[in-house]
Amino acid sequence: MTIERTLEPYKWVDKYLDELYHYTLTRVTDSGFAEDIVQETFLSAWRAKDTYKAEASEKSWLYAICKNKIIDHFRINSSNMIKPSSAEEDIYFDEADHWRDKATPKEWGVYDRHPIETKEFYTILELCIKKLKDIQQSVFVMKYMEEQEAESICKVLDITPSNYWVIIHRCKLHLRSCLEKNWINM
Amino acid sequence: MLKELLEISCKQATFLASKREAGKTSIFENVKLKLHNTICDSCRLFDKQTTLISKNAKHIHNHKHVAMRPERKQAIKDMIMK
Repeated sequence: MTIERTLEPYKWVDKYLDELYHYTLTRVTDSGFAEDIVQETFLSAWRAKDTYKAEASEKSWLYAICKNKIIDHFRINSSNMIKPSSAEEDIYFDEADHWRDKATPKEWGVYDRHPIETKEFYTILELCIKKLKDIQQSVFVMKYMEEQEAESICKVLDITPSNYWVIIHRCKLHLRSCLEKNWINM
Repeated sequence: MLKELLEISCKQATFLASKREAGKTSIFENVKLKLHNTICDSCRLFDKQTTLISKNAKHIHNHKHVAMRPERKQAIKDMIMK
């Protein structure tokens, strides 16, 4: 049995624009960029509508296009991004590379409270991600939200594997510290 | 001698923790990391807390309802409909 699937482009904007816009806005900070990405998604879909294979639902087909547009955005933007340089880790570690007193991780004591079910965790994590530097944010979103492989992220953003690991390390240091300051101590 | 070979700093330990998560550490690095985390509460916490972050990031939803500007929405509609 095959399921008959057809596209209904005239309904796209009403049916999917809001959720695609939300999806994009959690990954790209600037609302202007997010609007462009969603517009590009619909336009590309419209141009490619004759090649739609009906193997995926209309909705997941549009999402796949949107995800590609988000990655494209990171690729195009990567040339303006500052590559990792000075030792940002110094905020957290002393001369002997041990934790500074103020930066030492504290017990959160939330693991049994199902933090993932709390709205605050996500709201604050999202704000913390948006506070990261451009290049860090791109890497974090691609790796942990879009679940891309490290190799392909390096390619898209034109960074070396060793830069990649430095960026991931810094993302984690910044995000952990930001959550501790703003969520745990709320 | 063995101590020098096996001892790593907290900066190195947290760096290696991220690589291990992706399966990119050597057996030797894993041993060093494990030894460090056995004696270092702070790095163990770092590991636990950042794992929580990386496992859940993909579930972020935008809780605030932010709508696209209506005029932009209409413009996109017009582009497809024309």
